[in-house]
Amino acid sequence: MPAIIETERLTKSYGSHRGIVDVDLQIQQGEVFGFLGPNGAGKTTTIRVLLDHIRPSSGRATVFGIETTKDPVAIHRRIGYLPGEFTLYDRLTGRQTLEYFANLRGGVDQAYQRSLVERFDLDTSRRFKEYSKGNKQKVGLIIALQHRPELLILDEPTSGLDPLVQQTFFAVLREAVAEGRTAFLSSHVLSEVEKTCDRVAIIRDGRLTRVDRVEALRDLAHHQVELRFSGVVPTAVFEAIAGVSDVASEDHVLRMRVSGPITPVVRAAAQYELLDFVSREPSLEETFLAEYSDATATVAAPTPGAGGGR
Amino acid sequence: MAGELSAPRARDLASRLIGLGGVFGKSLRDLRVAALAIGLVAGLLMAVGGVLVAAQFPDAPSRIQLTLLSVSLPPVMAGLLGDPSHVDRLGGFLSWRIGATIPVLFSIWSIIALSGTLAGEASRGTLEVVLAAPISRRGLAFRKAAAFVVALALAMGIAATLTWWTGVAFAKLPGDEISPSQAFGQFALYGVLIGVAGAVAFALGAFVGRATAAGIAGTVLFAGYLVDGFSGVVPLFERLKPLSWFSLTKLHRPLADSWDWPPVLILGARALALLAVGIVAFGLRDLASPVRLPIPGLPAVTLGTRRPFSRSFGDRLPHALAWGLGDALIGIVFTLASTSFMEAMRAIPALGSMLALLYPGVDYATPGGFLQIGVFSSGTVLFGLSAATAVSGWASDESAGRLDLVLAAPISRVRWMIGSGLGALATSLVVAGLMAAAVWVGSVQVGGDPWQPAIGTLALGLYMAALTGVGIAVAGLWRPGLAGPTVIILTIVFYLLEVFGAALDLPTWVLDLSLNHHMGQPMTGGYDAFGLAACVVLALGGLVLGTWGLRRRDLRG
Repeated sequence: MPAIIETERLTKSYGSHRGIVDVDLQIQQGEVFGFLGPNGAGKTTTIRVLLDHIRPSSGRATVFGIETTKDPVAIHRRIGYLPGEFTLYDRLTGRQTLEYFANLRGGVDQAYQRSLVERFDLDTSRRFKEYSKGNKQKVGLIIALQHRPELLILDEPTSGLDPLVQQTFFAVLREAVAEGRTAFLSSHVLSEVEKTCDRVAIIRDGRLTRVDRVEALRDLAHHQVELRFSGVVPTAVFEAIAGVSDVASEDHVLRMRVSGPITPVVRAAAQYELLDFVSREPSLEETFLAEYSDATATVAAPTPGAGGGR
Repeated sequence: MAGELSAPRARDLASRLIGLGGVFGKSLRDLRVAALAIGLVAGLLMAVGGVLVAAQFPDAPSRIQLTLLSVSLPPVMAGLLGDPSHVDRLGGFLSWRIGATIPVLFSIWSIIALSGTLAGEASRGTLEVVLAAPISRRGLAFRKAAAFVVALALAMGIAATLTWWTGVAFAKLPGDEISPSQAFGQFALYGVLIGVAGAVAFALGAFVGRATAAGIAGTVLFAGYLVDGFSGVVPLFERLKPLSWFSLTKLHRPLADSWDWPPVLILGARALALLAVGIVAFGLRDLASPVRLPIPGLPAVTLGTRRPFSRSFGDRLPHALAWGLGDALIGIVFTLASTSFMEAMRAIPALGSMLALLYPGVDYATPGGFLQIGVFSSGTVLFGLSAATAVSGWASDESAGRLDLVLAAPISRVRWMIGSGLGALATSLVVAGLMAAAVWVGSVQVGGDPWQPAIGTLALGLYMAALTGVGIAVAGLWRPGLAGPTVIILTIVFYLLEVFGAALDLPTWVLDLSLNHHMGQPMTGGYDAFGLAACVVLALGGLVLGTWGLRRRDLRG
């Protein structure tokens, strides 16, 4: 089965400014793919290349097997897009705005459009310029969703939404994925990515540093281990264990970072009188933050038939 | 955590005066380029006038002839140019011929700047952030108003210096010298006139928001100018004259050795009072919550939600109607005044020869000749500015990021460019159509042939479309933010070349660069087929070029 989105050594530079460098991505049908990275890392640049709003300096990108620069209209026909930041026509009401974007697509299912308006609790009688940030985001989301696209490309979709509307959005997203559609979303809110996405890519300084399943990312990450003993314990014993780093001693407490299996640490600790043992499982957020100081790219192939389960 | 807070760096005086050291410095920094440009343009206009006098009226006999002709101008012309006083001297001529337009032209900047500095920033949300800093609202408003006053003074100072230099460089006869006090006295008047227009917008901005405040201030400005200029021919205007600040300060013309400071000081005090109203109101009222005036809106059908063409046209329509109605007002006033102009022409045959110097190549034997000067020649500036408004609004689809969403729909860049570009071009029909209708009505009123001048006015629509096309090409090929400024610059350059080019003996090929030079005399029935065809080519060619440009470049994000 061909990938819905595929990029090969995708590079975009803005003169002397870095955009993205050698980005390789493969997103399969039915996946919810999270795109993480700090501000200015290259998330929006990647998305805009996929839409042919900007053209790659080198490399290539295909969506639905169509090269983005060759026939963008054919791609746009099958996608729904929400930019990270956008503005629309101040004088149009919400209803007129939705109507215009529906017209640009040759019409949409009015009943589905109405259901989205109701679910997002949007007052469509107000002018766009009068909307709050959250309501503007709702308009953008409905524009992206109202034609039931095969692929959703959403840049910071929950930005500005209150928690209840966020729940609505995730429910709509789950329904879309359950129908076999695909979602590519960038986000800063790691907890929502953790809950929603099948796979995650982390981009830093324009380069992908990691692409993997959410669980795998979490597994790969280090554990923060804290051992409390009845007496003084030599740190060298633990420093000698493979995968252990950053060992710190304070009174009778040892703290360390453990990458990989934790069994050797448990065995070494058992040689002393151990009062307490705390091992914290890292969140995706900690993994994400750890990537800031570890730029080695690790890209795992997508699991066949991934997605659809969230 | 035992962090050590670093002491805030002492803000040096320079950055507080013009820089990022405070609200005043930042505001002045934002205004510095515009102030410099306005000072230079106003000063250069005076210098061009100096060159004109040196070239065309170099000796005493020609100056005497100029004086005789200037005092015999019909009321309609005298009103617009001001009462001729000492026009046989360089300073008097500059004050009369050039000075009449400076306060009107640059008041537009004043209105835009002072309506935007608080009301505009408030609606954009900028002030929400700035006012979170420890600064009071009144303090912020005061500093911003003060920065504008300083920027305006700077602009007028530059212009006055250049005017003084014009006197030094181009004086031909005794009395041509311009003293610094004359130059600065004249530009003090212009500064006050320019400032009061902006102050009206500033005072209203806190109540009604930026767009409405700017609209009201613009209306007051142009109405005041027309009332003052046409009070000699329209009895109603004579009664309204005391309300016009142009009438109030009419006797203060230092360049012509006519001094009348009290009205200038009174007007200056009014401007400061208006600024104070704006400052106090800004302190008292909620941020960005203007009172909605009961201005009738356009029917929803005109908004255009079907296609890019209708959307682009619908978005531009309110501005097009505003420009069209303003132009229509000017058109009807000039048309109604054409009868008195013809009477003056019959009574003073020498008037034609003088006008031939000021507006070469126009046949003044018909009312159409007068309309060619009053409506068409100055109309090119108004229609050029309309084109700048249309193309700036159109280009904002990309610069504001709307295009990112629109082009995510299954619509190609080519289709969007052609549809939306034609929508922007179509607004020229609205503007020209309204003015043509007004000229038609005015012509019927005065008993002349209504069709010739009305159809001639439509040629201005082609002129506007041509400049809009150029703007579209610039936006498509390079960047959207360049489109509006390019059209404004072209409008001014074309106009100046047309008005002053021949008098300055510029080479033919330079004169030919101005589109105005190829427009013929449509108001008298004299069409220039090449010029009209050039307009069509520029309009449609610009659209094609812009389309080609946007197709190959990245969208601005």
